[in-house]
Amino acid sequence: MKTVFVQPERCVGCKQCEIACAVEHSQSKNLYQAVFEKPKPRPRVHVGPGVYLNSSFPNKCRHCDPAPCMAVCPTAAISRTSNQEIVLIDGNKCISCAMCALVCPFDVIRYYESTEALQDKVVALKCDHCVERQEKGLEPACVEVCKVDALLFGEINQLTKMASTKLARVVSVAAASASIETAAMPENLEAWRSWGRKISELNDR
Amino acid sequence: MKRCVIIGAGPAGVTAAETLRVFAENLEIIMLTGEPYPPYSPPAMVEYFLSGRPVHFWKGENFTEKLGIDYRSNSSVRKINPATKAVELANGETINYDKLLLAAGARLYSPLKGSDKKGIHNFKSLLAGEKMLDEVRAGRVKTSLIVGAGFIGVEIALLLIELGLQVRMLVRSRVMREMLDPETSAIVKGTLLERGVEIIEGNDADALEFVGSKSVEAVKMRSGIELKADLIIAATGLKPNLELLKDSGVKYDWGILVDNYLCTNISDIYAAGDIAETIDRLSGRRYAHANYPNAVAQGRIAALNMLGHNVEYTGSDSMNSLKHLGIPVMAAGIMEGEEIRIRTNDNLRKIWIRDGKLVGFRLAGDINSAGIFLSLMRRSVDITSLKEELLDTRFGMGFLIDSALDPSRKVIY
Ligand SMILES: Cc1cc2nc3c(=O)[nH]c(=O)nc-3n(C[C@H](O)[C@H](O)[C@H](O)COP(=O)(O)OP(=O)(O)OC[C@H]3O[C@@H](n4cnc5c(N)ncnc54)[C@H](O)[C@@H]3O)c2cc1C
Ligand code: SF4
Ligand code: SF4
Repeated sequence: MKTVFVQPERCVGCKQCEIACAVEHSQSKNLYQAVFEKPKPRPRVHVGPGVYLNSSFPNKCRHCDPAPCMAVCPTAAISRTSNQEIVLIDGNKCISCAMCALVCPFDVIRYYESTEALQDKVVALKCDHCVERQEKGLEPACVEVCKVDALLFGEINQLTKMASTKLARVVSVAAASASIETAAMPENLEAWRSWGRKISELNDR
Repeated sequence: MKRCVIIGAGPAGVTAAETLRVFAENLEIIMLTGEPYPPYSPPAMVEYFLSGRPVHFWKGENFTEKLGIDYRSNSSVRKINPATKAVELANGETINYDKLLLAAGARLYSPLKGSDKKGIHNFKSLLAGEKMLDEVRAGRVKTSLIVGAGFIGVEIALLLIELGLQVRMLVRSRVMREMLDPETSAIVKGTLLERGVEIIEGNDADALEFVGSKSVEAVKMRSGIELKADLIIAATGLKPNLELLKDSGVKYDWGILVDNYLCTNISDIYAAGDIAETIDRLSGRRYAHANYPNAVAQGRIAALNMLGHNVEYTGSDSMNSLKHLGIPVMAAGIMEGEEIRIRTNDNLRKIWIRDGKLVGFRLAGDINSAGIFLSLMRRSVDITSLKEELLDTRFGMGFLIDSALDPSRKVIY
């Protein structure tokens, strides 16, 4: 099974993944046209802050199996693709009851207008694992654009094997049971990280 | 087991049927409902009435056919007879079963005098909803009066306002009192007022009686005043559909009593959904939890146990989310213990903490992180070191990742 694997210790919070995601899910698939589109294209990956000054975390749907969101959707708007790998929301069926957002343990569902829904109606939006790109053999847009390898795409077993820190265990559903080997972080990233921690510590005093 | 009979075609019954079919290809499944429609999902009724799109037939209109279920609409069950293992329909027909699932849901509960008067509408089933909408569509009604301001009362108000009716609500104490704290309740009330709903509240507004000579014409309040309306709707509460259990020996209190395997006191008879009383995962209290996720989870577990798989039901969640209001409002868990809150305009986040654990929350406006709160709550994670951050508007997964890494915090999500 293929998945997007997150290495949060590498994320520098540049939000390029958010932009790439919004553009990928726009009608024109072009940044300069996308900004003028209606409804406004929205990212389905969300880079949120951490506790430390410069820590951040790109958060997106884990395509859980079984998926809690799917179990509670009262309109069956949430389904799994036939290869079982991707959990999708059909905006046309969604009634914005927010039950899925209430039970998603990773907090990845947001409500916005969508081309799939009736005009002026907000519906549940989340990562679709770039299902269209994958069909063409491409990796998800967020992965493609990430400059520091905070987002990796590949076979879940291989990725968990090379997972670099303890941290990875926390953020990937299926990775919890995998063995963790340590791989070195690039020096510049390491320095960036420790700078943030120091500043945070100073602020706390 | 050769034949399984399911009474009820709501989320509980439908999920049970789906589960049975997955594990028993050749089992004969008979599904009975008193209503004339394919199985429908009640939460989607308002959307259907607003847009006309049949989203409420959430499994598809020919779903039972596709699954090889013997679906019998217009087949209201009058009685069950465990001694002969048979159910009796309103038309006198009897159907035998090897295993029986009671999933008949709940109906309107109205303690008011005159509740049996003709013309009192409710919104607890599609049949009732269609009847109400017939009046609206035919243009026979301009004014409406809703008695009760619980979850369903508020949904009806929003539907009728959207359909262009004049809407008044009679509220004894306050809007959604059971589900919401006073502050969140006030936000909902404010939004209802903004949307044009007129709210009459207070002790004097306590509705006592439906009055009218032949059919209902007005509602009498404690103050003695009688309020008239073209369309009068009762949204005073729910009561499990237990009439069919009379003299059956199946034990019930407010709802049907079940064991941890959702089996009633009679083996071979199970119960799931709004009709059953189940244990709350958090409070340990037993009651009839009326929400879709619980109904679905119970339908699945009951079916697995009917098939002999011995799967324990781990408990129900008290949670809900209000739709159609214009701003999102969510409620989960209990409102006991220490209360922490943050509010900016109509964005309200309230969290209750007891013994270092998150035991409940109410959110309005900003619902980000709701799923994280629920997860922390369900798994009884010690959140002592996270308390401040829970009120940070930027709180999210990033905070948890850092907290998990930091040995001084050790909050493992
Ligand atoms: C307007 C409305 C909005 C809601 N919105 C939400 C929401 O947003 N989120 C949420 O979680 N929950 C919501 N709920 C609650 C949710 O719909 C219920 O908890 C859920 O439907 C319960 O499922 P059930 O299968 O137990 O019962 P029901 O869905 O009530 O189904 C009962 C079935 O039994 C049949 N029946 C009854 N008596 C008999 C009889 N004697 N013989 C044969 N058949 C019989 C009925 O015809 C029906 O098919 C809403 C409910 C309503 C009414
Ligand atoms: S939306 Fe949330 S619950 Fe649903 S599959 Fe994605 S991560 Fe899992
Ligand atoms: S918000 Fe939409 S997708 Fe989510 S549970 Fe409700 S209907 Fe389903």
